[in-house]
Amino acid sequence: MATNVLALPRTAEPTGIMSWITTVDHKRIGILYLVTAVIFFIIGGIEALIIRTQLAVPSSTLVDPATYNQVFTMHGTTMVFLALMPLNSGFGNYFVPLMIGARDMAFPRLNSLGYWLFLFGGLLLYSSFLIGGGAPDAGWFGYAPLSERAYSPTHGIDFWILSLQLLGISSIIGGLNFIVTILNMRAPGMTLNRLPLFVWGTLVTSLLAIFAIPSISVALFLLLFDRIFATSFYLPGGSGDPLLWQHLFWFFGHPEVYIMIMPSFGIISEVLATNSRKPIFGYAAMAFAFAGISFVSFTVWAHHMFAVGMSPLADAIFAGMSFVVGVPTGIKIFNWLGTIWRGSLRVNTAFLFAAGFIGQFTIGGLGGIMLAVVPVDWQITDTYFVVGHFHYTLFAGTVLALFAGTYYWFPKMTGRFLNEKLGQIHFWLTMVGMTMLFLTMHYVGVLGMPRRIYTYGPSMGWDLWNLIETIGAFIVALGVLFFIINLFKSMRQKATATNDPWDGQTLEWATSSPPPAYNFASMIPVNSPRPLWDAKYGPHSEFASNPKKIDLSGGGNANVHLPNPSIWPLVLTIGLVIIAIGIIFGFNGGALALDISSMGMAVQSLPIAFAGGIVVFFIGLVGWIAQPAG
Amino acid sequence: MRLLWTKWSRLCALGIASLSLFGLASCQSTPQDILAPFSPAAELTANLFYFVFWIAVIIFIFVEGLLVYFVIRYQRRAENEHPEQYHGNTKLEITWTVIPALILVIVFFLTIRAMGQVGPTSPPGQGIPVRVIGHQWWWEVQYNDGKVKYATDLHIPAGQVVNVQLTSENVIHSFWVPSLMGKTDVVPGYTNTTWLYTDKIGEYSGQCAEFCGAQHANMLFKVIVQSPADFDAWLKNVQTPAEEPAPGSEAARGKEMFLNPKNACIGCHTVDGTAAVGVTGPNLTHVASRDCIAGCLLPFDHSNVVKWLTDPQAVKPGTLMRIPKLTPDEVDALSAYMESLK
Repeated sequence: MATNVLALPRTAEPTGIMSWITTVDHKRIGILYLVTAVIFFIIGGIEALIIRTQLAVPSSTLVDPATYNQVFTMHGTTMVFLALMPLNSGFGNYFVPLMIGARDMAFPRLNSLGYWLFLFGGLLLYSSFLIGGGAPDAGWFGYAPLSERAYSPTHGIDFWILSLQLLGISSIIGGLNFIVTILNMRAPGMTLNRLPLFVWGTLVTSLLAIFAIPSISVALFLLLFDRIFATSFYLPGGSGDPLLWQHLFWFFGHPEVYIMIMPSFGIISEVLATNSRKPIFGYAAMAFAFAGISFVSFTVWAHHMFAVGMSPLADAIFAGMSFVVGVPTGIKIFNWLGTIWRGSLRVNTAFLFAAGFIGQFTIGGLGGIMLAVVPVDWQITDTYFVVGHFHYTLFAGTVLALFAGTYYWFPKMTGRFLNEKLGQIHFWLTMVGMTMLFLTMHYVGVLGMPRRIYTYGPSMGWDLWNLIETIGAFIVALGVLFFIINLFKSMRQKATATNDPWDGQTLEWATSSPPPAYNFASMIPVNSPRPLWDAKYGPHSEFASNPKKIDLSGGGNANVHLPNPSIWPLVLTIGLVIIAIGIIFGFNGGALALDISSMGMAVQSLPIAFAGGIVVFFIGLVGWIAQPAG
Repeated sequence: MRLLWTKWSRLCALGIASLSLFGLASCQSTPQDILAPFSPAAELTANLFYFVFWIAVIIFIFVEGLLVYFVIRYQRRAENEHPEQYHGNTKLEITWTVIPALILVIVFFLTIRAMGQVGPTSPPGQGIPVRVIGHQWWWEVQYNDGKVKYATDLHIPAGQVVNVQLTSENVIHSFWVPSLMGKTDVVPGYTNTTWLYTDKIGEYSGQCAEFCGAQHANMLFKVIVQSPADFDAWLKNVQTPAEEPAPGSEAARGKEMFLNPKNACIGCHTVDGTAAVGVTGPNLTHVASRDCIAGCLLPFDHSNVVKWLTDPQAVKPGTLMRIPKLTPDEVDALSAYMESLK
């Protein structure tokens, strides 16, 4: 035994608020994503309750149309970009490196940048209420020409554009980070056909993100130029085309909805397999289904545009591909049923949410198939049928899966269990409230209620259904309240969770709860998608007599070097935010332009804030490059 | 076990409650119900809807049934019980890939067949051309190649194909009258076409179905299907110049106010046979023959016209209709004139 062991710098977990601001640890960044996203989810939920309260009775004057249009735009934008996507990222950040046996993500500082861009992108969006003359109000998909300056004269849309650009950068770099990490940093023996399904889900999601998000970035830049530099990409008066916006937006928008659901598919697979004490049924088909759904998701975008007047051939192709995507999705549903069939089911809250997901997501998927029947779509598109459909896939789908993941992984992240009684109440309130709220929407859509209307007349026959939906919304909110109470209550319990409280199958359960900063001090062999299960119960298992003895955490103070913490991602983010504000207010005689018209120069004003932001950005960039990664 | 008895009884309660509510519902009047069709196109679409709906219901019952059964049946009985580790079953997996695919192939063929029968670009013939123009937030309708300009009420004859041209010079709207036809968007820079055909005389409710700004919710219209004779009479009437109000009557005073530039009416409105030739707002020559005003938000009657002329922003916040504050007497006179324009 050598007496001169090389003492590595920085092997312990720092504490204090600065340590959270400069952290590059994937687990801390995961928690930052999750906590921030939960706060935005609650804000988005309050916006939903405002919408539902306004619509509870006909001809309501509670909320005026201008305010209502801002509220539903912000509700959609918040839930998609500031709640669901970052919640998926949060779990991905925390668990992907653990599940593949890695120390951290491939690019820890880039990971941190992704979080700061998310937080500040969200703050920028919400600052529109205060400094933008109002929040964006052209809907979460901002169709031109309505989102052009002529029809949306306040800065709300500008804030929307720039914050989505920041959020887009965050998602792209997050996607790149996941892809590189998953392809390069797997434990020995973990070939791609032995990846846990949550990792598969994150991998395909990341591939979707890097190919789809550039489309909306382009769309947003062109809209920004129309608004600020008087181009006319989307304005027919200047030879532009409003449908160009729709194609660019939906080319992103459709893969986007799969970006929101695929990690959830992965979570469901993990929770069901563990709580059934069985392998996932048909692993290979599940992995291929992920790939199949992803590929096909790029070929269906114009099913959001069946009513715009495309040729029948185009309509037919997009309808056909939309039917095709139903097949691999159906495979997953049946394989999940096969997983719990003849299992040994632990029916705890995590399992209830995951099992609930199977039936509920099926409703969402079947509604999607109905929407793909083009002539039927011509009646039900742009009605509450669609609103019901996508809330089924996103709420009764993604959000249920995220709840399942929270109850499942909470002990691993915190060492404590979420209270099961409160969890059951949360589950049942959610199921009942969600059904009253979103199933009813399909019906009122069939009764001809269009979407995005701030009120409706009393003779349309929609009154009772809207009231039921509103009551359902408040029941769902009550469920969320129980969930939040559960989170706070449970954090005050003692940390009693062992490494592997659920008899898990994947590597995160082989280390401590919570894991040490370096995740693993040693590794077990990986010969299947269930390395921990094999180590505990496999034919060559050395732990067969005492499966609970597996502990790869090294006691928490193994001598493993960690990447340096860094302030530069935050600095870079602040630079980008200043650039964004400088763009919004720095042109067309805006408040952040320096008026030099009296100096007889070729330009009348200088966008100084914009320039200042670029300076800060470069300071951040240089600092980052100069800092050793450690 | 106790948990699952509760689950069963809750599921039953949910089911019974939903069914009874749906039962209750069928008593209400629902003027835009897509499953209450009044044209061959809408009926074909409704039947197609029912077909895919029942397939979906059967699939859902199958999946949910298995789910509930499995969750109850396979609960863990002993702490260290280890079930058989099934990894999959190739035959089963192929079956549940192929059968859904076959169902979807059938649905696809039904889809493209129906597109050919009810598609907006597949009218059953060339009949009466009508132009529909989307404004913020009202529908303009034009007949006879733009020579007749009307608003909000789209009159068509029963038993004849009506070919509809859709344009907008502002934002995207969507033309939708569920009882008769699926929706077609109205996109600036494009001239989309759709058609209407029914032999059922009546009035059918329509609404803009693409978010178009502040008053999207109140951009309503009606399709009024008349007998060919009634339609001809109506069309003849709207081609006549405006009725002249009796001299000295309240309506005559109203006409003076209407034509007075300080009241801003003539900047936006046209009344054929007068000096008012504004085109931003609806043509008012035969406004009293209409069912409704303010984008069909208000039925046309004296009190509603007064309400609208007194304070349009209070009725329809954000509306582009502007009128200076008038005294109640002035409003009454102006209303009288409007009501005389039959």
